[in-house]
Amino acid sequence: MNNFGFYIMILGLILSLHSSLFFFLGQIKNKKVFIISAQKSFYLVILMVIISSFSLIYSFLTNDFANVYVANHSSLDMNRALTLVAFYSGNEGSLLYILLVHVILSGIMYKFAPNNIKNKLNFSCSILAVITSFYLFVMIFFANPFQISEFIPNDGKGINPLLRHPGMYIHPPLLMSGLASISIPFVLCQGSLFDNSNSNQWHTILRVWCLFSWAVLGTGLLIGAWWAYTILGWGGYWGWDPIENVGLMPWLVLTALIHSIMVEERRGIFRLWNIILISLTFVLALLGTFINRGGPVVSVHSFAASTLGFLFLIFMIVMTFYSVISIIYNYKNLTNNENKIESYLSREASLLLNNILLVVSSLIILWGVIFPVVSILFNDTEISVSAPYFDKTAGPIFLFIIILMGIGPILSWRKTTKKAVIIRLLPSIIITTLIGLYLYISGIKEFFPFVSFISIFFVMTIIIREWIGGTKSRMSNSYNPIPSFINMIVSNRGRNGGYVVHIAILALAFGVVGTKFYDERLDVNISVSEEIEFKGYSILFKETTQEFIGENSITKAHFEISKVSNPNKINNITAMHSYYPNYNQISVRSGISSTPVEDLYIIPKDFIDENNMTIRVAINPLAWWIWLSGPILILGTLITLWPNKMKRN
Amino acid sequence: MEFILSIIFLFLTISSTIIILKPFINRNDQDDK
Repeated sequence: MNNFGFYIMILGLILSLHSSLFFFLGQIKNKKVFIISAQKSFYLVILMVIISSFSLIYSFLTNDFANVYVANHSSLDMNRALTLVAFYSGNEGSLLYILLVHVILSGIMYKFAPNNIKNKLNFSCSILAVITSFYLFVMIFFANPFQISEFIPNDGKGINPLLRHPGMYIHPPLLMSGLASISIPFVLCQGSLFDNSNSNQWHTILRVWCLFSWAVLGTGLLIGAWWAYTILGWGGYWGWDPIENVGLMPWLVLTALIHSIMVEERRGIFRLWNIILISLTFVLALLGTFINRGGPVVSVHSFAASTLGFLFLIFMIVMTFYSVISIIYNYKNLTNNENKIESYLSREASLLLNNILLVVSSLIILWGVIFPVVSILFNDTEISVSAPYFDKTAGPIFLFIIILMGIGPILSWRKTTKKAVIIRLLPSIIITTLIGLYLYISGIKEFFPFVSFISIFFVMTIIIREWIGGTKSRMSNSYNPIPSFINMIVSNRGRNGGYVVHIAILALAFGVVGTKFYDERLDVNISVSEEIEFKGYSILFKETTQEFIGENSITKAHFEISKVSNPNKINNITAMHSYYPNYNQISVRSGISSTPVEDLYIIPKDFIDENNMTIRVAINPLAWWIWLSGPILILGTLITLWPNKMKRN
Repeated sequence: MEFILSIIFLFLTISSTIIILKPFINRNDQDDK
């Protein structure tokens, strides 16, 4: 099966090279027959990559330890449900997974592209096939997931302990899919350069694919944060680790792009800016892959580390060079629109500011990521940039973006009068002032969290007011507000889906501010049957139990939690500490009791003996809202992406 | 197993070659216009 999978990859490489070459030749020589042939190989590659992937999954399911990758990432006692996680848990398999996503999405994009757009996509498909060829080339010559070992072990090493978590079914695949899918809007943008009609279909298809990548990447990042929160056992969810940052940067630029596409759609301006943004997103996504595969910066995400960094660096440089050349070559076409921003009090001006802030925040993060490398070049010593740098630089920019999120949508296109802006904002300003007073009286007096909270409420009241106004205007025929509300949402899915996504961002910001500024921690030694009190909670250490799964030992500490004010309502939580001898690795899983107000979070730091342990107790206010933002974000994106045909039906 | 897989691989290789070459075999010069 291993040889079969390998040879199928070689066949896939030949087909994708053929596809790339013939799409390109078909475009420049205007030969239809070349393009038809290239289309066939374009689709055939998908089949080959699917067959290769199934071959690897089959090797996992049959415990084929002759395969080096399977032996290193699987074992006899591994739960078969983890096979999928094992598939992408190492360098070689994750490359195959990224390629699988890339070819499937490329196929879907091409198959469902409108016919008049499809004719302009030859060059785009050629680039997609080049990307496919690159991944196949890397796997065939440098990171073969089907490599056979001469010595066949009786049992495999097992999957990395840190990856044995439900979040691992979703976080890595979504993150990798999000990064891989960015190539689709990139090539679509490149395709649009061949069409001078500036058809709105380009904007629609581009927006759909940008939103798709954005939602997938965003959800992947959130689930990664949840995984870190529940399993890494350090009490946080975002550590500004290089790998986290390289996922966040393209997401931020993509956020800017989604907004600026609207301006191009409405006003025909920002075309050049949009091409720059998508090229930047694409290059940042490649940078992510480069850093993840053995780049020069140290990260906690070393699951897929390899020595392949140089290949990805070369590929990234080539693609960056190509993007720059393509922008310079098309510069005249991209800047021939005479429309301009007419007033600083207009939707497009606010979106431009939002774009600038998002790109600047992304570049600030990029500087933090590459700073260790820069410091070596100029100073001979590696200086890492830690969380306070990112908090202090990106934090205030994010706050500005949130405020703009409220003001931007109420501004009209072209220009808005100051009076109209004040009238529309006045109710929100009054309500927010009252909320601000309440917060101040409640003891929230520190500048940054206070401003953040009132900004969040300010934006929320604007959205609610917009929705109440919209619902009221549709209630003339009905006394029931619910159908009117739904009708209002459905009538302008793009705008209202956007509002729902904005609510998700507000929930996220609410949780981040709460946990960042008001968390409390206590490190304490505790014995069985001992009860401690911390910030209104009573924590009783009931017992420890030990389990063995194969050679791995899992120690569980059981606690009874109650509020001092309400001792009858008892909540049981369990914190775990597992040791995996094959990896010589410890995995800690925190015990969490979560409510919308705050999380009580117990990290088992050290099991001294059967009856004594050291724990860290943390109170993380509003953390619950961070995880709530995920489903809201998905809902908002779905509302935005829901096809218009439903409306007609 | 290895034999069956070899046959499948051969089949995939030959059929892929035929599929991508077919447009050239059925070529009609008017297509290019």
